[in-house]
Amino acid sequence: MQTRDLLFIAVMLWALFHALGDKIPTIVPPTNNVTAVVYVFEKDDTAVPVAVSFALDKINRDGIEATIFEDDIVDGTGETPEQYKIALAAAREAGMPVLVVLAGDKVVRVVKAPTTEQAVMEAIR
Amino acid sequence: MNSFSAIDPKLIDVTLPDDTGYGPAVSGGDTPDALRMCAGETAREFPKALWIEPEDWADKARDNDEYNTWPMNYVDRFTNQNPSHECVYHSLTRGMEACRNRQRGVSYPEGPKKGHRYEESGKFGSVWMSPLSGYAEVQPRQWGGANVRQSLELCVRRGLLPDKIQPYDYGFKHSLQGTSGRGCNNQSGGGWIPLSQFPAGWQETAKHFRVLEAIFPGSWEQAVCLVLHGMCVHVGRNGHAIPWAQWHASQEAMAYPDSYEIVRYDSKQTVQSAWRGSFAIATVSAPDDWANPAGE
Repeated sequence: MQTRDLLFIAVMLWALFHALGDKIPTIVPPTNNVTAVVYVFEKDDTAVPVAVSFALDKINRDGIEATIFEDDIVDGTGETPEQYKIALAAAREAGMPVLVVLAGDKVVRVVKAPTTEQAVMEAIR
Repeated sequence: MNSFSAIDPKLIDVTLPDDTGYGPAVSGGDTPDALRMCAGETAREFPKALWIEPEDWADKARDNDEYNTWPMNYVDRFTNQNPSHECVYHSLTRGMEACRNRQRGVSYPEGPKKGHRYEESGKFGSVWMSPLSGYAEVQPRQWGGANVRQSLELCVRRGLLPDKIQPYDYGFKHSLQGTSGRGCNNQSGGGWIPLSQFPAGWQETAKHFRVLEAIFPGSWEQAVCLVLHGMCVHVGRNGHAIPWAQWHASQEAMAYPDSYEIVRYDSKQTVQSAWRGSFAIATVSAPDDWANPAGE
């Protein structure tokens, strides 16, 4: 391939890029190094929305731990499981049901009563 | 998972020819009141928030089909009890495992498949329980079956041991063969073992796998609602205990993963006659770390 051909391809790519403008999809990386997502609820008051369960499954498969936590759940010793203490405290403060997004031991975001897949996915971005 | 597909009539209302472990001698005392009493503080009435009007069941079923949120979607393996009498515990462990997988947030789009092991089971912390680890205490003579009330009480009080076969090497200090029956690729089979010969200190592992809350439906419609919300409903009928795990809206039948590596169905008529004394496991204990389920 000659230099003239390479130049032609480069010009065409440049023209294509400008023609598409903002139509080119952008990949938004997760912010704040999200490490865990927890949907915290009280089963007497609400059921877990199916779209939320579906979203959590997707997030798990993308490598972020995404789980459901009913506020009465305990571990084998009868205590709140260590991994849920921060999420549960945030949920009790915000009011359940709620989606708590964590980066390590920091609460990144709290979303009240999400019901759609989109709402869950936006919460981790 | 399509809950509107046709069902083979041969799989509906199957009465097994052999004793599976829930004959009249053990099932007679499993009244709703006795079960609630045995469940103790874990017993819950049906929450009003979970009610779905029957005319909306089909829509809810479509949602579950689309989002993989049937109880059956949280069952990631079959077991095989044949020829043991452990049916009550094979049923209970399906529900406990499904509840645990639901809490973990991972579903299995095609549900249990004979001879198949999901890679995700190991990746996402699924733990397979040993039905024998409960049955051996409730029925010390091996044969004769178990009633549901004692079985549930035991799952609440001291929990169950993990099966020797797991989808991932969790390093459990204590485990037991899954069944004194045949077992299968995802369940270890082995000889009968009495409680006195369980591995020393087994309680320290079992306590991490307990039932925390059980919901008792007050009607057959409430039992359907629990299934529509992703919870297995455990029931004994026709001499056999099973977990209802998917409502077929078009044919009005309840699918269940039977402990013979097959999905079978109860008709609406059977559901209407059998729901009394049924219950759903709403929550089970959760670990401090999903990768280390018993903290060992």
